[in-house]
Amino acid sequence: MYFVVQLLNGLQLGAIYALIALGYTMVYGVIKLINFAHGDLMMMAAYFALIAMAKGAHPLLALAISIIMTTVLGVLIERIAYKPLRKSSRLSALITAIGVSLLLQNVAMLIWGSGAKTYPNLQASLPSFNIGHNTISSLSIITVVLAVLVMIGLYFFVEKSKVGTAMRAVSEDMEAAELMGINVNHTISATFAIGSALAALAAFLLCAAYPQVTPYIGAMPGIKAFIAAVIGGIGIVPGAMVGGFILGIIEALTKGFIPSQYSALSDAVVFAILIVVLLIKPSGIFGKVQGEKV
Amino acid sequence: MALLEVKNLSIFFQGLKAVHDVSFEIAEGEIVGMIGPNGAGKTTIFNLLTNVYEPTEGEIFVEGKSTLGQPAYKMVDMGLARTFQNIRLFKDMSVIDNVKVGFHHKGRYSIAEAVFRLPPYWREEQLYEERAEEILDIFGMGDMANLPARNLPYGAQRKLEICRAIASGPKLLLLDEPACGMNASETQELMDTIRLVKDRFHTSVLLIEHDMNLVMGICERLIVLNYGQVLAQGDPEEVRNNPEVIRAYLGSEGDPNALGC
Repeated sequence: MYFVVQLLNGLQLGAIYALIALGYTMVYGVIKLINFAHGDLMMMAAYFALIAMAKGAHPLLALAISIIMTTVLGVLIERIAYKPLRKSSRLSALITAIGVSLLLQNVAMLIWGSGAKTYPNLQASLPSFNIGHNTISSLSIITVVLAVLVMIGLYFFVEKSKVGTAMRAVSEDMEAAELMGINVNHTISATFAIGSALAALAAFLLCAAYPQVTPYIGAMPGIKAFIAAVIGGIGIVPGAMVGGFILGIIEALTKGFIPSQYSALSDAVVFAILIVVLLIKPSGIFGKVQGEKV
Repeated sequence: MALLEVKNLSIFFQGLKAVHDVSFEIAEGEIVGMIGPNGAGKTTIFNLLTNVYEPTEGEIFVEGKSTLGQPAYKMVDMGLARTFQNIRLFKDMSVIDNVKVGFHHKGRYSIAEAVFRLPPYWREEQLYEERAEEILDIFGMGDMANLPARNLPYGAQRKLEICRAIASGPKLLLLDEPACGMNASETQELMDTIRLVKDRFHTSVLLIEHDMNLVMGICERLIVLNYGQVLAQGDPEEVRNNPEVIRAYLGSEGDPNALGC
């Protein structure tokens, strides 16, 4: 039973990683930028929701407000920081992303201070049930189901919708796409908007489970979600989902089954897996092996 | 009024006069060939026509409207579509999705409708799916609709680029060396395709080509460029016998069919 509970914890954590990873993967898929500020965008989303709830908003309204504000912020960051570098080397954009990440952390610290702020205990208001001696919150199940639904919706959006088709076209050949009548700027904005909205949802679910907000809560989940995206195959929507779940489960099981004084090892295990994946299949689980034409 | 009017068009790249004072017109329903030695400025003119480059001087009018200052993606709205010298399909996408990209500029529904799957979204999506199938059928590619574009044979990839361009409903189709790398029978098929474009879709065609069989076989008028300037314009016979063209383009004596791309 303990195993099942840990597995469910892992799925819950994995679902959150997966939602963040989807943002990484969508942006990477379209403009080949690893948006290292994505985790910190999630942190900002957590503060937005927290403020809304502090002002008395219903948690769901707070979530909606947070999604809207985060989306606007994400699109603005792209316009101000990344768009001028679109024709520069990828390294310049990558370093800018790291800069944006630090900027967001410091702005958050300036506005809200570096101390931890407590999130309302949302989990308590949700029903929970017992399996044997263990309690399972319905939040875990909601989180997992929501993440899976979002992933399926996103997959069909990218594969079937016209905006999704435009995203794939821009991803393959930005210039040709533009000459076929696609507004590249709008398409890239849409990509950032979707990624940011998912980050806001992830932030809400994360803070509902671990009710504490600091300016640094985005950093570690951000990196782990990035690893999840790489494990699944960066740029591939279902890959982000699978990578997220794998990572979440492994982390929860290592935490659950190794002696608690070594629990910090779980992060080491996660990074070790990244190394193994990069050694065996660098393009990720779902990634295509790119043959080099000579 | 001419469909396309190019007036005193010039572009200089740091002193290099890639295109210098070029003027020509294309009427509705015309198939016009643009020929000239390598480096004469043909592709540069295509890039100017589609606003990839901004002209140093001069202006382009489509149906009397100036294209100055329009972003490149708006040129499709104005009625210009193109193919590329080196095929630039979206290779990981299916054949039919490539064609559907051509419809993209027509969509008016919002992202919200697409996310929440509102009825206008489905109606429009359905319509584009059908129209894309129709176009593929017309060009005899209906049975390839769901293949990834990268799996198509070379000639079919060239054809798919034309389908994608046609999907945007252009008034003028710009073909950049469509016969490049094709064998004789593929070139023959290409000529049929270009005629189909003109007859079935009432689209004018401006094509850059080195294959003289294709140029002489299909073009109603030729524009000859040399060193970024118009050397001669006229019907193929006229141009073929123009001594200046022969000298500049073919050398003093030479086989007009011997040119590669």
